Amino acid sequence: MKLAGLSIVVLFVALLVGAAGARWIGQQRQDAAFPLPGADGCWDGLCFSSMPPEDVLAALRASPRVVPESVAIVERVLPSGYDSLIAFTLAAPFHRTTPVLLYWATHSYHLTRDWRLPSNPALLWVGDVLAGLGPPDRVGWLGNQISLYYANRRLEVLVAPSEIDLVWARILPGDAVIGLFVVPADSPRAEDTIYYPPSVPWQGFGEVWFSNPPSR
Amino acid sequence: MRAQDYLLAQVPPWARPDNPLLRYVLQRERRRHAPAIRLAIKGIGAGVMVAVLLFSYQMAQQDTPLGLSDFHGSGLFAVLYFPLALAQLFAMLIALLAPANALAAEQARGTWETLKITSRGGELVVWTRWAAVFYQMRWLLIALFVPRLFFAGRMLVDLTAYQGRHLDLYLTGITPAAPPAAGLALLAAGMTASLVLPFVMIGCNAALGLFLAAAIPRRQIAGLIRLAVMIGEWFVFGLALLVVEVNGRASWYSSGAGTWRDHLFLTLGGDQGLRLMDLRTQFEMWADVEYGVLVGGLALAAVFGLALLTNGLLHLAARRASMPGRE
Repeated sequence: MKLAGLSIVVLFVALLVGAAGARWIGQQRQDAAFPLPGADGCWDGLCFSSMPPEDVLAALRASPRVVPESVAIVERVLPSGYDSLIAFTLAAPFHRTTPVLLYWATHSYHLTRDWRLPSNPALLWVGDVLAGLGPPDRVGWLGNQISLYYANRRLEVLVAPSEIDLVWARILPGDAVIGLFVVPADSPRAEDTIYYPPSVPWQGFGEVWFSNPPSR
Repeated sequence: MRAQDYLLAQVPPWARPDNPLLRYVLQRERRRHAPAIRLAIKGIGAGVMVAVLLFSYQMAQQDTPLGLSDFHGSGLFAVLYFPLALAQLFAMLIALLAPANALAAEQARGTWETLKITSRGGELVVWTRWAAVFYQMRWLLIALFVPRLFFAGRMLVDLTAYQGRHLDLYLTGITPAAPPAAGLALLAAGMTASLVLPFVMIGCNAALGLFLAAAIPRRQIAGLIRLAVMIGEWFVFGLALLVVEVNGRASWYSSGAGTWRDHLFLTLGGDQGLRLMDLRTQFEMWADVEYGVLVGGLALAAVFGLALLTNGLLHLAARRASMPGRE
C-alpha cells in the first residue's frame, strides 16, 4: 500500500511538472494566428482608417501575411457610409489560412469572417483575444452574438458564443471571433461611452447574465 | 540489478507473479472453466463493447454523444466516453464478485482449511486473492488505462493553446479565486485522480467482496449482500451520470451546471473521473460551477481515502479468514 501511495504522489508530481512545462511552452509562442488591431487603430501595420480607398488594395497585396492574389473587391450592398467590401486571405506561418472580409469608412473599419463560405470559418478565438489584449471592459448582448468592448483601444470584438438566449450567454475561450470593429477615432472616452445594447462588466468565462438571474 | 527486477522487488511478496500461492490461485481460476467457455465469454464481452462503441460513434456523429450533453470537447473523447464508463463499471462488478466466488469455491471443495494451514493462515490467501484480481483483469485494465493516458497527453498539449494562457483564462472570475500555481496543482490533482481511480475502485470492490466472503459465515447471505451491493453500484452509476445532465442548461429562464457536490459525485460514483480527462470540459466546470475548481483536488483526496478503506477491509478480511473453524 505504501508503494501504491508513493506511486500516486510520483504521478501527481510528474503531471504537475508536465502541466507547468506545457504552459511555459505555450507562452513562448507569442504570435497569434490572426493579428489584432493595435492601440493606434492599425491592423498588422495597415492603417485603413487614414488610408485613401484607392491605396487599400495595394497595401493589402504588399502585406507579408496576406496572399497577394487573394485580394479582390466584392460587389455587395454595404451599410451606408462604408466603402467597398474587399476579400482577402491571411496566411501566417504554422497557422491555418483565414479568409477575411474588410469594409471601412472614415476613421473606422471592420474585419469579419467570410460569411459567403459554407464553412464560415472564424477569424480567431476569444481565448486568443484575451491572451493578447487582456480582459475587455464590458460584454454586450446583440441577440445571437456577443460584443467584447475594449473602450480604450476603440475596439469591439464580435463573438458567436457557445450558447446564448434572451437574457444570458455562455462565453468560452474556444468561441469563434467573427468580427473586429475598430470604432471611429472621434468616439467618446471610455468613461463617457454609452452602451446601447444590454451590457455588463467583464466577469470571466462561463455564464454571463444581462439581467438579474433567477434565484436558485 | 535490472530496472525490472528493482521494480518487482518493491512489490509485496504475495503480489509477485512468481509467488507459489498466487500462481496456484491463478491456475485454479483458469481451470474453473473450459478454455472454450473462457474464450466464448471474452468474445461476447468484446462483441458487446464493439457494439456499444459503434453506437456511441453513431450518436456522436449526430451531435448527441452518449452520456455527454452540452459537450464542446474533442470528437474522440465523445465517442469513447460512454463505452469506457460502462467498461469501468463492468470491471468494478467483476472485481466484487470474482475473488469472493473463488473463496467460496475453496470452501465448497473442502480445501479451505488445508490452504490456510499451508499458507500461514488465511491471511496470505486473502491478500493473494486480492492481487490475483489485477492479474486476471490485466487486459481490461490496460484497455481502460491506455485511453486515459492518451487523454492526459492531449490535455497537456491543449494547455499550450492561447499562447499558453489557456489555464489562466479559465481562472478569471471563478469562485474561489485561484492563482495560476494553485490552478496547475488542482489540474494535476484531477488528472492524477482520473488516471488511478479505475485501479483504486477495482481494488476497493475486490477488498469489499473478500471482506463479505470472509466475515459472513453463511455463503447464501454473503451472496445476497454482494448482489445488493452490485445493484446499488449500478444505481449509483446511473444516478451520477444523470445528475449533471439533469442540471444542464434548461431554458432562457434558468441555467445551471450543477454544484461541486454533483460533479464530485459524478467523478467518484459515475465515470471515475473520465469527464475530467477532457481539458475543455474540466475548465468549463471551473467557470460554470462555484468551487468546481476544487473537484480535482477533492477527487485525489478521495483516492487516498479509498486506498485506506481498501487496506482496512483487506486487513479485516484477512483476520476473519485466519480464524479457526472457518467452514
